[in-house]
Amino acid sequence: MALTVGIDIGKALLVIIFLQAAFGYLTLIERKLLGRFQLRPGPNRAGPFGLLQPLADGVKLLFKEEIIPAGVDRFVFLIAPMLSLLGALMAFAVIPFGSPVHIFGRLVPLQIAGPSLSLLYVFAVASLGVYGIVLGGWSSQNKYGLLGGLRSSAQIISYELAMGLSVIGVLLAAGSADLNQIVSAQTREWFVFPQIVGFIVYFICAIAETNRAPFDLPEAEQELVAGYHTEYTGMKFAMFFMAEYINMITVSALATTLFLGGWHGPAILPSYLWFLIKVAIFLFVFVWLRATLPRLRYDRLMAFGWKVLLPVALLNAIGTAAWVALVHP
Amino acid sequence: MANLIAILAGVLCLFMGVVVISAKNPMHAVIALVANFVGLGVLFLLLHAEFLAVIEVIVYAGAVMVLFLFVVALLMAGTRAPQESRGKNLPGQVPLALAVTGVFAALVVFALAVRTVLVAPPPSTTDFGSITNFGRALFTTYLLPFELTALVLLAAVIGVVFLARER
Amino acid sequence: MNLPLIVPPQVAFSLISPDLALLVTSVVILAVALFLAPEQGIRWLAWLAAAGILVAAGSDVILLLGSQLPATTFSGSLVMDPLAEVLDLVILAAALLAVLLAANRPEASPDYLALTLWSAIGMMVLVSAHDLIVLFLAVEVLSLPLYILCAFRPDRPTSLEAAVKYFLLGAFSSGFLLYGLALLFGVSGGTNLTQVAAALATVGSASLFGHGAIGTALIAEVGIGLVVVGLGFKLAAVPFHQWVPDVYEGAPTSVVTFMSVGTKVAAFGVLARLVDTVFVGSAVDWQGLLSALAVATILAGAVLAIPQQNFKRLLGYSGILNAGYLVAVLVVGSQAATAAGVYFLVTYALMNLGAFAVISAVSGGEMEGVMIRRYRGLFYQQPWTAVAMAVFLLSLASIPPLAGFFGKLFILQALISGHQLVLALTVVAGTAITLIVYGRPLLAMFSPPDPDSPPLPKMPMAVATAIGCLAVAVVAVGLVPGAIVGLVHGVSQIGPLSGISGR
Repeated sequence: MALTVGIDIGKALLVIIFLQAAFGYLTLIERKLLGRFQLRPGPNRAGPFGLLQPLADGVKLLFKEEIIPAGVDRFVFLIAPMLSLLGALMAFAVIPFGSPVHIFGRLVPLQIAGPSLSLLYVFAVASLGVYGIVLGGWSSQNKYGLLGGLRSSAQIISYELAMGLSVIGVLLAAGSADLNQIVSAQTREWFVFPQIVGFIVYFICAIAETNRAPFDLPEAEQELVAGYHTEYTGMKFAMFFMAEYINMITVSALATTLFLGGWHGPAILPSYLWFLIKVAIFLFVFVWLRATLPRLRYDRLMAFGWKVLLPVALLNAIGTAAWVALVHP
Repeated sequence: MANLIAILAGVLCLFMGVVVISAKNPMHAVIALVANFVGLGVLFLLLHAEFLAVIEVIVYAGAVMVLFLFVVALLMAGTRAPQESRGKNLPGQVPLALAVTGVFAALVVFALAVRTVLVAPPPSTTDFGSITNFGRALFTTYLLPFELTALVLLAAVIGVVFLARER
Repeated sequence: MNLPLIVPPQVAFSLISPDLALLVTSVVILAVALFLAPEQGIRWLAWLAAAGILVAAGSDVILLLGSQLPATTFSGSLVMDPLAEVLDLVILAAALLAVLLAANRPEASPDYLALTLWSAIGMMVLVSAHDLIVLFLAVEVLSLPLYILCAFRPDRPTSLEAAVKYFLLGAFSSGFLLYGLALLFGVSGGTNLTQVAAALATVGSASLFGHGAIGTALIAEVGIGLVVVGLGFKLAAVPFHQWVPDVYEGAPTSVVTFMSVGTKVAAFGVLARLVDTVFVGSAVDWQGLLSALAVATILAGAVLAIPQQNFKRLLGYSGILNAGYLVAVLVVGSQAATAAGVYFLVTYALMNLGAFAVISAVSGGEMEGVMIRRYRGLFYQQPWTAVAMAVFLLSLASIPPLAGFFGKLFILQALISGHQLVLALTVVAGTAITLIVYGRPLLAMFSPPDPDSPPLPKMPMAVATAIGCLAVAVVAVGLVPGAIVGLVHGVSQIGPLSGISGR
């Protein structure tokens, strides 16, 4: 009993620490890559190849003055970044990031918790993360903050619908909402091939859900300064920042799990490395898109979500259901 | 352990429910309602109704309440002191509400004291709340309610479109 | 990988054909409206809606005459019996009149027609509901379109006010209803009325201090009380009637016509079914509750109606009063009493629909047109309209040779044979007071006209025909009361009767 609890806590700590580190270096990789895309070196002053840049940024944010603007709703203002980060971290709890390993003579699944409805759990927790954004924007008493928060939450709940529908196909094909079973259903064939439509819709929605370019309307500098986190400084700002990057990692990990066979791969590498590689590919695409595509107009964005993605995802779900019911045994 | 969690979740729900109706700032009321829904989700989980719990959080806490926040945020935008936007109570409203609450609280306490009060048997299996069994119940025994819900939603959509139409 | 196959239950489509007819019509109307110019074809669509309602009524009659009834469908959550089918016919009549009245009014639109049909479906499902969840959802299907319909004259602030008031109080009452249903479910562990009835029948049989008996009985009692409160809002029983006058005044007259009859019929139907299948067999004291409600409703409705200057408000209070009679007759709890209630409801529907149709025609959609002073001298301008209105008002006042008199007579008969003397006396008192209430507009119509009153609008042919038919029906039913007594006797079987299991 004590050992089980210990292992669980250990896994949770490991994942949290790993995610923090991944966040730090993701920012560095993004800046480096953007630099290369734009034919410039990117950050290279702190440490060799700029490898200490994330640490320097962290120290800077930690020692910045914390400013709470006058007239804000203090309670809401303070919990908003926490909610945002909480949602991002909690979603990762159910993602299986490797095949079970033996520790102290026990078979330990590489997953913090494995409830039977883990796929839906991810969506539930992710849907709560919106509150950080909308509350942060509202409580700042700043028009840019409010508009950014509203835009962002409208975008997120609109795309959440299509995203939820896009994974229904996977759920039907695997016959389970348990991420472990979804992974093991892909031993022979990754779902990205039969569920290509679902995959494309999912990935587009994932970009919108994480407020990344070309769907980064909530943070459109030219119109909204910095959107919902305009008034945030220091670590509170860092928490929003962290939430965004960890959400990026989470949606990539979920995409890997649902469509790319999770941790499955040839035995030449350990399963968790395969998982990491697949997630890294998604993260690279995120950065690539940001460097390549211009931002959409807001009404186009909403129209695209409601009038294109949602019907396509719905048709995909219906088609898969018909396939499962009629063709598949 | 499960009992402790149930009590904590129940206390959370009740407390947040009181905050919902007593908060002076409508934003705080909405946040409290979200917390209330999360607490309810925990209670559903403890009752083995996993699917219901997750759906409750996704739909109510995750989507419906965000729209509430929207409306409140837009209506309050530009008001300096949200505290003043609160309406007055009706005369005798508070004592009456307390009296009714007291009656129901007494009823619940009494029901708990008598212990065997509820005839309803607990669910026989722990997987009765799974997606499969949920779907089975929805499309067999409760098919008519399912269809009626579609009608309610359709009427609501048409009604909203009518009311919001530009004239 | 092996997904379990779910086999949906067998649904007897012939049993729900009236509801399906309305549903198909409403969808067709909305779909066709997409291809019509906004201001064109409304009349055409109204005729389509009317045709759909007639088809539904026709299949209703076929069901009534056939041998299928009584039967249950949808896993026993819907019961089709003569009671339900007769009440369905009344609901359909109200919907038909609403469609005809609205046809050339500003409120007419495809949305209006579809919402009216959906509300009618909700009412029809409600009188057939045999399951707590179906009951609740039917109330919502009934109410939601009505809330919106009340706002169908957005150019008038009173219309929006009516919608908001109705919506807020309606939502509030839904809360009561839901809480009550939840308690009943908690006590019985099932949502089907058969299960609820079985559980409530055992509740009181334990000894007074038996283990757990009191607690359960108490919860059952509170549950029943809350359900009655929730349905009381819909029925407009005092003290849950506050919304009635404002909503009746502000909402479009065609909507009020439909609502005043339809919701009453539906709420009476479901209460009658609850009384017959659940309340009667239980040891819970439901009779005291309903008696108090009935006495308060009759007296308050009658007295408050006296000073009204607005015809729609007056008929609103008259509706409250008549709701009181309906609650009173339910107290008896016998099937004969239910039959008397149904008879009363049929006659009430005829005269109330007629009165509202006349108001709608005379007012021409203007606020001023519904004041009673506008009716001064109606007889000299439109004699036949005045005569028809006189018939409706006299019938509402229970003057002997007309339909209303026999409705009231059967109710009194049921009350006296059920030994409910206090209620019987209240009914008589209420009837006496209404002579004053309905006398005033009656006198106004036959007094000389105001010389400077504006001319009355021209009455559409369909509305005139409807008013004529209703007036003739009121007289005919009064002259030959036996004509529908036989029909109503068949109604007194409420079921799912012995011999039909829950399936």
